[in-house]
Amino acid sequence: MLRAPKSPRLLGGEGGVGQERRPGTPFLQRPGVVATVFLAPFLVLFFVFRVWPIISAVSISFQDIQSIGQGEFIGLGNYQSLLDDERFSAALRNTAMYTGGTLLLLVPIPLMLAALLHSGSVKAPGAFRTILFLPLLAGLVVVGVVFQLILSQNGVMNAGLGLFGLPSLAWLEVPELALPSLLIVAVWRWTGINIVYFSTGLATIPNDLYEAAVIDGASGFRRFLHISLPLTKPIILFVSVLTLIGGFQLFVEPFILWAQQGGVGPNRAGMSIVVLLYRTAFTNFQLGLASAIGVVLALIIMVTAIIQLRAFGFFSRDETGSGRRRRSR
Amino acid sequence: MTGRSAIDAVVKLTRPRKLNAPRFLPTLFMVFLAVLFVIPLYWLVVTSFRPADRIFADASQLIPTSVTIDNFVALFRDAPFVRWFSNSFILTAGSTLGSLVVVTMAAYPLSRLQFPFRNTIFVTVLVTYLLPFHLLLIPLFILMIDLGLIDTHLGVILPLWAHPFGLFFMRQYMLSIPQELLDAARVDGASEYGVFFRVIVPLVKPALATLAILFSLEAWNDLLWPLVVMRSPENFPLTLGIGSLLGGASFRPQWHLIMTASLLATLPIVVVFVMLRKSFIGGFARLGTGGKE
Repeated sequence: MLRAPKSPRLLGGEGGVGQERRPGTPFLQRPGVVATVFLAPFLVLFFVFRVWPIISAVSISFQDIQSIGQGEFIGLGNYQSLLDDERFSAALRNTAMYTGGTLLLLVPIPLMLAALLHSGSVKAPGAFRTILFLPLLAGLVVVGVVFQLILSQNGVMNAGLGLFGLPSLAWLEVPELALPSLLIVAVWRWTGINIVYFSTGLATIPNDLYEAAVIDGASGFRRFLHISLPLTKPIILFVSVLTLIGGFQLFVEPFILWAQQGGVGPNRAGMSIVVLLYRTAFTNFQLGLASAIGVVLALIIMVTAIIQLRAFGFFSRDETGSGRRRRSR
Repeated sequence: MTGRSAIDAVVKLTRPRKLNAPRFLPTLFMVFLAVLFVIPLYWLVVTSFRPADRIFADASQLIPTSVTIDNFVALFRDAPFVRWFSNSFILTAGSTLGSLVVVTMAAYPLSRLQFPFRNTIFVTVLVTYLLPFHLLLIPLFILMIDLGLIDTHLGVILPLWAHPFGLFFMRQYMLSIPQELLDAARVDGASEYGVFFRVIVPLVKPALATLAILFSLEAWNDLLWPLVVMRSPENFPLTLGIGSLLGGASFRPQWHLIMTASLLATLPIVVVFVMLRKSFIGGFARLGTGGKE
C-alpha cells in the first residue's frame, strides 16, 4: 500500500518541504542542521573507514614499507615487481578462469531452472526453490570444510562417480582439478540464490504476454526466448555483475579447501588474487606490494563491471537498468 | 491467476494430446537436483555424529555405521567453543545494530530533504561501494594498530557501520514513501526529528528486516576481516576458530571438532531461516529489484 506509483530514479527523489521554513525556526530545526545531524555519524565513519583508506591504499602501493609508519616512495616499483611475479600471474589466471567459469555456469543454468519452475510444468515449485536456496545458509567457511570432506579421495563425489562407473579423482590434490573443484563449490552454493533473483524477475512479467503467445501457438521454448529472456534483462545484468564482482573477490573457498597448504592449492592452482594479497601482506609482510595487488584488483573489477554494464546498454538513455520492476496485475 | 488457469484449460483442450508425453519428467529432474543439493548439508549433519576415527574412512557412507555424540562433548572440552560462539554473536549484533542505525539516519536526508551536495555525497558512496573491501584491508589494518583496536571486538565492528550498500538500499526504500504522509505529520506540528521517528522509522521496518538479515549473515560468516584484526584465540569468532582447527603445516586438522563446530555455527542461521523463511528469501529477492517489494 505504500508503494509509490513511479519507480524511484537513481538520483534525486521527491524533495522535502522542510526547505522553506520561516526565519524564526529554532537552530536545530533548520533544514541544513537537520541534514547534518542525520548524516554526521555515517559521514564521519564513511570518511575514516572508507574514503581515507582508499586514498591511503593507493599511496601505500607506491611505497616500500619496512615497518608500519616507515615507508619509502619507490614510484611504480611494486607494480613493476607484480609484472615479473609468476605468483601474481598465476593468481590472475586462476581468478579470471574461475570468474569466467562462474559466469558461464551461474547465469544461464539458474535462469533456465527459474524458467522451468515458473512454467508450471514442475509440481511444488516453491519447495524446490527453497531446497536449492538452502546452501546459502551455510557460511563459506563451513562450505569449504564440508567440501574438503566431499571432494576427498574417499568422499561422496568419488562414490557418486563410481555409481556411473567413472574412476575416482584426487580432486583437491591435482592442479588440473583445482578450478573444477572451486566451480563445483560455486555451483552448489550460488545456484539457488540466482534462481530466486531470476524468479522475481520472471514473476513481474505480465501473464497476458504469455497468454497471447500461447494463443499465437508459441512453444514453451519460444516463449522463454522471446518473452522471458528480453524482459528479465535487467536481472540478468544484475546477476552477472554480482557474479563477476564476487568471482574476482574469491578468497574463503580456496583458503579453507586448501587450508593445510596455506590456501594456495596444489602447484598454486587454487591461489586467487585475494589469497595472494592476504599472504603477501600478512605472511610475508610486504604491505606495499600487497596494496598494489589491491589496486590492480579494484581496477579489474571496475573496468570489467563497466564493460559489462555497457554491453547491456546500461548507460544508454532510455533504460534505467537498475532492476526496475514492472508491475503485473 | 484465474485468467492463467482458464487459458491453461483452453490450451489443454485445444492442444492435441501427445502420447507418452512424460509430464512428470520436469518434476523428477528437479527432485534429482534437489537431492544432489541436499547431500553436502546432510553430510555436515551426519559427519558430526560419526566416531572421530571414521570421519574420513566412512566419508562415502550414506548411513553412519555407528552414531555418537562424543564429538560434541570433545568440542566443548577441547576447544573454546563457547567463547567463539559468543564472540561471533557480539560481532554480529554489534555490526548489524550499528549499521542499521547509522544507515537509516543517513538515508533520511539523502532521500527526503534538500540540501547542498546531496547528490555528490550519494554518488561518492555508490562509487566506493564498487571498490572491493580487500583494497581497504591494509590501510584499515594500519589504522586499527594506530587506534589501538587490534585484537578487540570494536576493531572488527566499527569499520563495518558505514555500509554503502545499506545506505543505497535504505535510500531507495525511503524514496517510495508517499510525500503526503510526511507533509501530514509536518502540518500536525512534528519536527523533522519527529517525522523521522514517528513516520519514517515505522514505515521502513520491512527494509530494516531485510538489511538485518543480510548484515547479520555477512557478519556471522565473515572470515577475512576478523582474521586480520583478531590475534588471540579467545577473541576468535567461529569462522576463525574453525579455521584454526584446520591447522597448517604444524599440526593435523581435528576433524571431529571441525565438523561439530561447523554444524553448531550453522544452526543459528537455520533457526532464523525457519522462523522468517518468507522475509529471508524475499529479502534476497528484493536485492535484485532495486529494493522494491
